[in-house]
Amino acid sequence: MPDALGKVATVAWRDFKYTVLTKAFIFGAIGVPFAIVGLIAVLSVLLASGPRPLTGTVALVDPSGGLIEATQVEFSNGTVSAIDSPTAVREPARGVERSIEAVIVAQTAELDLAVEPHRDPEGVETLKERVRSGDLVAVAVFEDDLLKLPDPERSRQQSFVLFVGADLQPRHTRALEQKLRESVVRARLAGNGQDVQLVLAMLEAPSPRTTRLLDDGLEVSESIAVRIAQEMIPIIFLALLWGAIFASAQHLMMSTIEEKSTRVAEVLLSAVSPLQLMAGKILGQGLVGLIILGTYSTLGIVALLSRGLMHLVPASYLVYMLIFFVMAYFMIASVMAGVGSAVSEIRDANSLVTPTLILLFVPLFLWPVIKDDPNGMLATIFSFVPPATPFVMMLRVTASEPVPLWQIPLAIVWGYVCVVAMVWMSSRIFRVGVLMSGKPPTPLELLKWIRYS
Amino acid sequence: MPSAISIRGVDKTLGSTRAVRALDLEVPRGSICGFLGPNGAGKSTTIRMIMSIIYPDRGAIEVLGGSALESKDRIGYLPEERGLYRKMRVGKFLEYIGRLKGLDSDTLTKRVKNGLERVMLPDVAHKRCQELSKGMQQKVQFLTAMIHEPELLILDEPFAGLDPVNALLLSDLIRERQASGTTIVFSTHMLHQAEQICDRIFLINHGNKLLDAAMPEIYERFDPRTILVEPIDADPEFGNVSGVARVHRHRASGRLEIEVKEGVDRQQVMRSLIASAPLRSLHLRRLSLDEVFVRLVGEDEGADAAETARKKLSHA
Repeated sequence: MPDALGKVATVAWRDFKYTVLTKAFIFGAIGVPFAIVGLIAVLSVLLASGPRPLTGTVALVDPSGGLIEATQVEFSNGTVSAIDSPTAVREPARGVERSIEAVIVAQTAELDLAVEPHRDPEGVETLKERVRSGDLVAVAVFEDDLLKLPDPERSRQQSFVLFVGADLQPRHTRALEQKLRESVVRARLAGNGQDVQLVLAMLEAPSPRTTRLLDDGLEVSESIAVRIAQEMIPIIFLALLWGAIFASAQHLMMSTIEEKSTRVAEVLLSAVSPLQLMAGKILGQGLVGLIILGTYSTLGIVALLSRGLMHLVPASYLVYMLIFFVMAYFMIASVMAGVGSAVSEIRDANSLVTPTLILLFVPLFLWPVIKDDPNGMLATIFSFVPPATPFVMMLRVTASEPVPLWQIPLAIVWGYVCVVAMVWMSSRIFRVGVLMSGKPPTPLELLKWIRYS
Repeated sequence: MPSAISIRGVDKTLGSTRAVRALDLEVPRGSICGFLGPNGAGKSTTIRMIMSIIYPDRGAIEVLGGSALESKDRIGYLPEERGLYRKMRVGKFLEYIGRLKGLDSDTLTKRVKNGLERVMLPDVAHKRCQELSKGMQQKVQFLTAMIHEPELLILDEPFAGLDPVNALLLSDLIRERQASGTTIVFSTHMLHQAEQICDRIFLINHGNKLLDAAMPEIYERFDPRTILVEPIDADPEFGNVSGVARVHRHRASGRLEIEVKEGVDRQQVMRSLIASAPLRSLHLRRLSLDEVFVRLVGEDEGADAAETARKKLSHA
């Protein structure tokens, strides 16, 4: 004869099995991550081959004639970043991991352009027609005073006019704009008797070679890509928690509503108590959440290992993730189980779930702030506001600045105390709600169920 | 022997409705007991309290010597609102419920196979529940209630929606269970069906108990002292027969209802009737449970309430 725990385990196993063995789950939770990995791999290969260069002729209408040579020099250096940042252009990706390289490559453009000089502004309309016909890539029209030094007192920025064809790609347009801007700077320097190479060399900002000193005595040099990865780690952990918890908690609510609306709940309650039923369902869907978390985490770890970046994710992060996953799951699951038992249709559930969801969106909305200032007042306060606690704490412990040691155990203890309280309240709602039919209860009625059931 | 179910002074209010009032009830072990009454009488509420699915506001309920929570694995329950997992296979669903009731895998495999054969659904174990007709689903649900061969079987409106063939099958299954020692309690608003299989009747209306008695007691207590006669001749004269108080003729059928005087032996009157005229049939009339119910409601709440109860029963 199964004891109470045996019954809970039987319910949990059925809920787990009938969620995990559905096509939707296999596709969504296991197929999709592998598809994403495959897609990234394919894209990396495709992007590594580099973008198609822009070739052709650009007409320069320059009444002064002072820009022609500078433009030819700039065009002869054919690679340009489409990101409007000179640093990004000049700083080579040193030690940058391939995935980050691929992104940068995708945003650069190869130019192989010839310059066709014109002095007469009257011929612009004819040149525009040639752009339309595809004979020219673009027409740049410079004003007479463009080579004069800009007047700092004048608020209007100097500009030039560029006509491009309808089918010119945006990154090529940006690259061309930037080359022309740099041509103007180069021409100004030359026109004022400066040594252009020298000045540009002096303007080149030096690149720092930062080395991170790890607790275990290791020294790890830090590239831009590593820094980007570090910046992204908190949000990746947050996204992992969110994805796994919401997928499984959503399943929990849906299956509770289904059992209620199909009247299976009463059959089950003839064999188990409401608390056993709810506990079994929560545990079963918790296993589903662990499968999702495990799948995505494993892929992430494999990706980090393959890039040699595993040092960015110390083992303590994984331990924290497990602690905060369990905490967050039980918080959200208790809400979803309570709401699922109280309504008979999914649309009725939305109004009851929304207040909780608003609190849960806090860490999502505030993650840049919390990541940059993990020990600020905002982060500290929301670390103790359930159900945001586990999500905010996950962001904080994976951010660069260490969290005061006392706050971590306090948040964990406080979070689990809240879990016990939320599960208790949910069980009170569950035992009443699961047999109720008709109009969904108001939040006030839910409070009454908690008090009097 | 202690009762299978013992209810003492139970009250239950649902919302603004007092569903059950000061209810006392004893269900003897091994009996088939009918919980009868029109829709909304409080039958399902009482059954849910017996099952500890909901709890009484006042009073005590003892099931198989303890609370239903402690005895869940010894009780089979068919709720009024039928429920199956639509996408689950029939065999798996039965196994799931059986496992929750404490059965091991080997026993379950045999019971599921034999059970489905017994309810004439031998080939549905691998079908999804949603693929079954409503009647088939109902039989599967009945099977879930008795898969673990419980000591107490509680059936809430088991005959609702069943065709006559399946209703007969269900009646046979109920009797089989009783023969193997199971106590059976079932609720129905179809009193004539209960009359055919119950040992004991428990009648309620608006949460009030109107009757709690074994069938022979009911027949004795509600004896109409009426003899039904179908004469061969068109117009026999029975008014002068000794012991006859009154004679009513049914114009359409030609049958006669002969009321016997108080204190007179009905067997003697019947012999006199046979001697006085040629008859096609003659038998003592019994009140149906419907009539008993209407009479009790009339005694309890007056003529208007009795009329309302009569209408409710005729619409059931």
